[in-house]
Amino acid sequence: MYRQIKLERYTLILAALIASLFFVSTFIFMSESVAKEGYDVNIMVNNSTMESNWGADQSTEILSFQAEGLCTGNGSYSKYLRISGFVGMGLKENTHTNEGRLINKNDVKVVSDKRWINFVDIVNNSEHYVGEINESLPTVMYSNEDLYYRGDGIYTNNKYVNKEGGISTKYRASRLIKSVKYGSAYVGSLISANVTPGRVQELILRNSTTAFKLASDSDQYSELGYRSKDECLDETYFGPFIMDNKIIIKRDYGISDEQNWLSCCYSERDSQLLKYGV
Amino acid sequence: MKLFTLLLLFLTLAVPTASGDVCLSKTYYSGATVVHEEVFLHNVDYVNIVSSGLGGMAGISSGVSADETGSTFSDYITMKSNGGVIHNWANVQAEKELAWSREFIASKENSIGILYGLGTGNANAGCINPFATIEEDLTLIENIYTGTIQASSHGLGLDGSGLRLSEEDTDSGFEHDIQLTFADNWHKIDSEFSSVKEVESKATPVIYAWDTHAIVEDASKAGFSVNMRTVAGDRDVKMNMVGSTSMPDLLDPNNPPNESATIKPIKTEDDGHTTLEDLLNTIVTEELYMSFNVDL
Repeated sequence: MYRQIKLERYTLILAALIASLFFVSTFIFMSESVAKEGYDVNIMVNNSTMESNWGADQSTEILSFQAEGLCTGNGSYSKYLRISGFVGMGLKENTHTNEGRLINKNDVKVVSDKRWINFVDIVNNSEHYVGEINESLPTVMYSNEDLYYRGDGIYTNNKYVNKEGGISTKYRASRLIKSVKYGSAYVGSLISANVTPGRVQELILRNSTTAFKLASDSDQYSELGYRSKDECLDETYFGPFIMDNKIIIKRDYGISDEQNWLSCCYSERDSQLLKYGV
Repeated sequence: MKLFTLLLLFLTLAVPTASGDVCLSKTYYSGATVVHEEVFLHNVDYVNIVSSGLGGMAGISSGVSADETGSTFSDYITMKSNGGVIHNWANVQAEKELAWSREFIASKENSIGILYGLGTGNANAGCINPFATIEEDLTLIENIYTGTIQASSHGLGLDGSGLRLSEEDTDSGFEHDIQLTFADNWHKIDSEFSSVKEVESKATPVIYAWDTHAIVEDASKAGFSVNMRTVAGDRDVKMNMVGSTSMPDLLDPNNPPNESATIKPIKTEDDGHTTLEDLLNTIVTEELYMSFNVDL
């Protein structure tokens, strides 16, 4: 069985191959609208001796998306899942199994919206650039996966990323029980840059939260990693191990944009975002 | 060591202090609309504000010469949407001063407008929409010009106005070419004006003004015109207009689109004495006008 859904910059490919006794799968897809929002900015300042460059980009789509799936059966199985392009948030899953018994339950949800993006550029005498980007692009990504496998072998690799960093898990096993919950919420950013021919100063203030919960029982190989600009965590286990990990990252620069919610522009999507505290 | 210090001091002082260049390349996405702007600045102070919200996007920018030592700006903006592509540009080099502003609105109706002005210098500006192009080329010597260029999915417009009122006794003039491309045909008017000193006496200033007007309404109607008029002083004045088109049917075979006038100064008394009558005799007025109109 093979299903594929494409949405401009959003791609979700869910492939499941069950070759034996029985198979149960449910899949729900909802999408309100698709529209690209964002920007790509590049600045160059030079004089006769020096040159400096600065850039910033952002990309998202206004949509509400939900996918649920349940797969139960005996046989071999292959799954590839990728979501990207929502203010840098994304997730990726790659799973392959040999003959065996599998139960896999998935729940993926993305809600994203735009309130505003404001830009200010000031150039003095063509040799000093000051820029500011103030954006409110509330976005929530949620993924919940429960997996049970017992058989001739499974390889599964998950990655969850946003603009600040990424979390990854990797397993190789003949017996695996895994439960992963990932939630990431982005409210907005205030980016400022000060560029002269000899210097670039950049300040990025983000309002975002990431929460990750992993519980697993594997008999061969387990790996958990977290990387950002300033933080790094790597755990690798060979042999039978039980893992129970939680990662929470919260960035708050203290400026609330709640007062900018206009009654005229309040939508069903906004209520879904508010449910997640965004 | 002392020599090294002196060398270092010399090198430090020898670093040129000319102002730099700034290039801004920015793309904004909002729904089905994409706005891309490319701005180059030399010796210019500049402000740009863009806001993107639920209803669309809007932006306004303006720039002005940082001083009187010469300035350059290039401002290219393209807007793509379901209604097609519209594009405005202005590329200006001024020996002294320049100023311009630009605004765009991307909503249910898309539009871009550029207003620019300069003194002595060169300019190339224009606008494009899915069915027409308007472009102007300018060379100015000791006069001032202001141009407004508007583009939307439904129409284009260009209005320009040049003027010399200064009492400064200097040579001046301009070359102004304007071209309209519409319905796979082109139409052009090249205008030229020069005012050159001929008499070594206190000259009566030459005063002149010219206007250009071009408009494209939907895909069925377009036209443009140039009007040039002067009050000549003690200078050799030459005015010239040449029209051309890829549609010969638009032209009257008995009256080709060439307009010109030459005004020679009236020589005053050799001793430099100028009577009131002499002054009045120097005031000669002349006006040239040319237009093209296309109705499909």
